[in-house]
Amino acid sequence: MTFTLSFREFLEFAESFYLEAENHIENGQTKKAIPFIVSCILLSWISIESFINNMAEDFAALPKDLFTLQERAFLEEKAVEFLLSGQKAGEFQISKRSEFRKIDEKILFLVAKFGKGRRFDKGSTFWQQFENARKKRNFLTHPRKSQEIDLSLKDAKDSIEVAKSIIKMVAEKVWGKKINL
Amino acid sequence: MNVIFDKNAKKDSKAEEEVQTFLKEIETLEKNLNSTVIICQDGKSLAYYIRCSISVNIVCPLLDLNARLDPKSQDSFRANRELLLEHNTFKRMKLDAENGREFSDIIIEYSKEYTPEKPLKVWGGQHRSKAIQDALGKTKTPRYHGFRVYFCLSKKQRTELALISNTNINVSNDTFDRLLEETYVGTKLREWCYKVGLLKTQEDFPDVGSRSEKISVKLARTFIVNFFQGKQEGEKLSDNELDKHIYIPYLCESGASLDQKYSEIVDEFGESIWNDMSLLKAGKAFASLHKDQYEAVKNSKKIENRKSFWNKALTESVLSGWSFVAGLLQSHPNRLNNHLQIPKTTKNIPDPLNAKEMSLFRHEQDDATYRGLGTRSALKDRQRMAQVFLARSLVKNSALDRKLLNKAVSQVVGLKALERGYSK
Repeated sequence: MTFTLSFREFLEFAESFYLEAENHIENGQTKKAIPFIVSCILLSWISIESFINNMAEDFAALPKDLFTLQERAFLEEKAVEFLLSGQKAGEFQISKRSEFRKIDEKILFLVAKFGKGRRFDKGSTFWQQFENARKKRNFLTHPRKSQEIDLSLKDAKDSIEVAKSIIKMVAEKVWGKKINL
Repeated sequence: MNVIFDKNAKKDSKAEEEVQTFLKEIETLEKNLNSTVIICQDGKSLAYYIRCSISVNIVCPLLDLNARLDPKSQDSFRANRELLLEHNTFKRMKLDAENGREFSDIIIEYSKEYTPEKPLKVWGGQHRSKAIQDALGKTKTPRYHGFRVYFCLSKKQRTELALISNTNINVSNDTFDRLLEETYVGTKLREWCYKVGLLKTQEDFPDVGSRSEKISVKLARTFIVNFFQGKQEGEKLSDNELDKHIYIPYLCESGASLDQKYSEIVDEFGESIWNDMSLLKAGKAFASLHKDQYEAVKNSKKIENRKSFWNKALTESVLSGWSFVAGLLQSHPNRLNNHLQIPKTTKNIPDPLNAKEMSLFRHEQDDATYRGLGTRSALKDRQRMAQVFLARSLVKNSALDRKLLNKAVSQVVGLKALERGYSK
């Protein structure tokens, strides 16, 4: 079975897990709610990743000479290499080696490049909420026994809201388009 | 019999002569009562007409429901929309006629230029006329019906008459398009469709495009306009620049006036359009694509057998995008050859337009209600389809697979974002 999932579907999954978690908590079954809270946080984050990666792919699909080498490498998540031999010796080119970028770097790049010169205010409440959601997600994807995590239903709800806000904001800045979520 | 001109009508001997002939040949109530008949003149079209009542027994054999816009041309087809004989409104009319209903203001033209045994050409009220004819002999007493009879009409006056007579009922824009096409352009567009294989010989454009599987006047005009607009744009661009632009395939307007861009192109290029070899070649390639798509869906067990799939080529966004790219690539021959080739089919892609994959397509920008590529006529969809065909033209003998659809739509979205401005 092959298929693709869009950011909307990941968000829908996140919302359905949130409802499950809420149900369990209302019934006093806090422990049973935990897997749903964890899933909700991770899926919300995946929806942001899906949206941003696909937006970057839209630009990567454009003719190569519309961007600088560095920009293209960034969009394609490849490294830039310096050639030591061959006909192009002494030049830079995009390597086949992957060089993955963090999601916040991609957001910063897309908004700075295509958002009509607007920049992110990293001190804003909005960005702080994004950072908090990222920390929770990182705790869950890189768990350590030495670190305890504090999870609540509110974290699940916040993760959905942050995902929606960031997607709407980037869409508006880059596409000039409001999207319904 | 006393015949006079209304005070608002300019006296015209030819019109008067025709009215006299009409009254001499056809028995009217006014004639029987020896009343004065008034010749009126429409203030806008300047057409002459009289009002009269004719008995059902007299009028029925004389009514011609196949009125033509151009009486002299054998190529002119029946202009009115198809009769809706199963429509409840018609059934009611028929029943009313059988029960003695007297109808009024049926619009006819008196003309013996074709089918002279039926000189009363019906332009407005063809359903009422048919109901009267069907009820003949079924009523107890023969009834009189009211007519407005026009005389000495020019082709333009006739078209206008047909249009205004049909504004109160549910007439499709495709019927209006057909009427206007014949009046202002003639039968050239239809003949061009015969030549390229988009219509079968002696077939007419449909009067309701949405119910038909044939190309409509609107779509045929759209093809022509996009081809020439694309051609003009392509001449300004180098090979390297082709994929750096978003294109705007045009959709002709339909209805009571001739589309302006189509009209401009017909005026600018004149007769040469219809013999333009590059346009003919493009038209033939498109007709082959439509035929192959149709047959592939009809014959394949792998794809759902539905109209939106087998008629995919004739959707507005697909046709306009394809024809625009056919024009655009006229000055880029290598890519043109790729474009004119029918997209490859494979084990997993049974139809050239990959209709199922297109129907499932959705970009991040699209709302949850988006129905897929090549289904709507909105500008966004026309632009996307043009980019799909443009992207396909880069590689010889390629298929319209999911990867290509993704890439093409990404390009449209990316270029639109770039168009808004970006920081260097």
